[in-house]
Amino acid sequence: MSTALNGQAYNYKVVRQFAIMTVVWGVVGMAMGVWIASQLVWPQMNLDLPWTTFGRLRPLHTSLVIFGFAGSAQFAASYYAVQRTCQVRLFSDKLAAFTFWGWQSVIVIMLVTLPLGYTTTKEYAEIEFTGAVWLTVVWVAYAIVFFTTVVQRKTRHIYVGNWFFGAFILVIAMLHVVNHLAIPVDWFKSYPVYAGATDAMVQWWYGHNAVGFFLTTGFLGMMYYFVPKQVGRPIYSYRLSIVHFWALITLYIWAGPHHLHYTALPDWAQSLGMAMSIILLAPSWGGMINGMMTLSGAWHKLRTDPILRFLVLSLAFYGMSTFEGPMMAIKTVNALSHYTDWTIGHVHAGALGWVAMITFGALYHMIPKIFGREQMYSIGLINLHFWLATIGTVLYIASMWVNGITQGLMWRAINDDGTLTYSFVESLSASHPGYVVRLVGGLFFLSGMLLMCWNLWRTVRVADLKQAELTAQIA
Amino acid sequence: MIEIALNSAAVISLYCAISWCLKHKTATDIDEASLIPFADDPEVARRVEQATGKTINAVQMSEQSREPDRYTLEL
Repeated sequence: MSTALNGQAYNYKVVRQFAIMTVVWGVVGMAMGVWIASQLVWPQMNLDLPWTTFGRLRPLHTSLVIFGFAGSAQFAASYYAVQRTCQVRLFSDKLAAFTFWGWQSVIVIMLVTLPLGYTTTKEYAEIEFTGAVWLTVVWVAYAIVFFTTVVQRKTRHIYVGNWFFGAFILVIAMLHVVNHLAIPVDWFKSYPVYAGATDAMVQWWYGHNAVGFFLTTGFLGMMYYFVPKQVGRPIYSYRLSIVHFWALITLYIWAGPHHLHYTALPDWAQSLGMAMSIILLAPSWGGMINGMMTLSGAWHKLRTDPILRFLVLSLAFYGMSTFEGPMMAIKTVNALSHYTDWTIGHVHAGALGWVAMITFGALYHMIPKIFGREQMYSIGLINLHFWLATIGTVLYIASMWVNGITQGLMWRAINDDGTLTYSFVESLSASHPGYVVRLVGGLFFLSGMLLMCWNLWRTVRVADLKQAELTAQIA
Repeated sequence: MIEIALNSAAVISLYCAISWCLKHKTATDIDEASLIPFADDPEVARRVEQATGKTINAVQMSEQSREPDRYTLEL
């Protein structure tokens, strides 16, 4: 091993801030999810107040978990990994701090405005025009911090994880700006510049790529850094990771129309979306296999390392949901699954199984290092969190599969005279047991999150920032 | 027919672009790039070297570390 001396310290302060807020928004966003799940079991949980109805809290739940939890996680992980793989301090402490406070203010704007009913009505893009403009400003600052750090790197190569983070930042900027093009009529209301089927197409081009780039590409960047680090082996095939990168970003952007099967969207666009979704299986599984195979010769570590278990299980769920997605994009399958709870189950296989679990793994790896501790306060609690999260996810997605297929079959059943066999309310009654199981699954998952919160608090309370600064010294 | 030609052109372009990206990389380059996550952590780098038999150009931490400004928990 050859060594060289370098001369500055990594900026861990902003990483610490984002890491803590990831857990905070995770708890709040998932608690909101449990609340709205309870509303589908007991409608009284709507509380007869306009601010707490399902219609207002559901977008708040998705916004908090996507932008608050997953967004903060990606800021933390990308800032941590880009510094360490470029061996250089993050560009501009002030601008990095601005991205933290700016991003948190965006989440607070969502937290306040969505229950009040200010919404664009576009899924995952509900934040109204003024908030969307502010989000753009913060995102541009993020891009400046990230890419300038990459430019100033001391290493010869740009590590592949940073390619994924970079694509995530660039594509999200493009999607957000195009989908939010609107004519504001006051501070809290605007109307999109698109109309009809065009508006729907732009929205689902954005919506699907919110999944593809906000909830996949950035997290793949996380995977390419944290899986090798936790395993103590380099990625299985670096060549495959490059093929994975180009194939994924080339294909994902075309898959959006599968959200609009059997609508007014032109048929060719629907077929294109379906075909691209099916092809997308190849790079997705290439990445999943690359991550999994990194454990070659180190599988025994799974017996004792719950952090690694989180990371590997997240890859398993990634593989499962990226198989299920293309299958659901096939028009004949979609005819059964669309508008049913199967879609909700699919989304949560990705959101809980992939996004949340890889985030937990990355945070448990990163937190001791940025807070100057040898390890988390309790490894036993990490293990318990792992099982609660796994059971919660399985209960959630299994109940939604059953509900989705039940609903799809009941809605399409017709009598000999062509009338519907079941009313909508009958399908709703048949779904009720599934909603109860989903609520239980959500409670399991949230309990794990609360355990993580406790574990984090006990670790942070005895943080040794002097030690963290020492280990952050690179130059 | 034009659709098939366009689709084929897209696939061939993707293949050529990736091949072009990779052709300038030697096996040593690829190894070096894949080992970057361990290169700023000499202790871990040593363990990875033992496990894989590959050499890592690790950056050593400074012996004379700068004292941090504050020791209180700073979020």
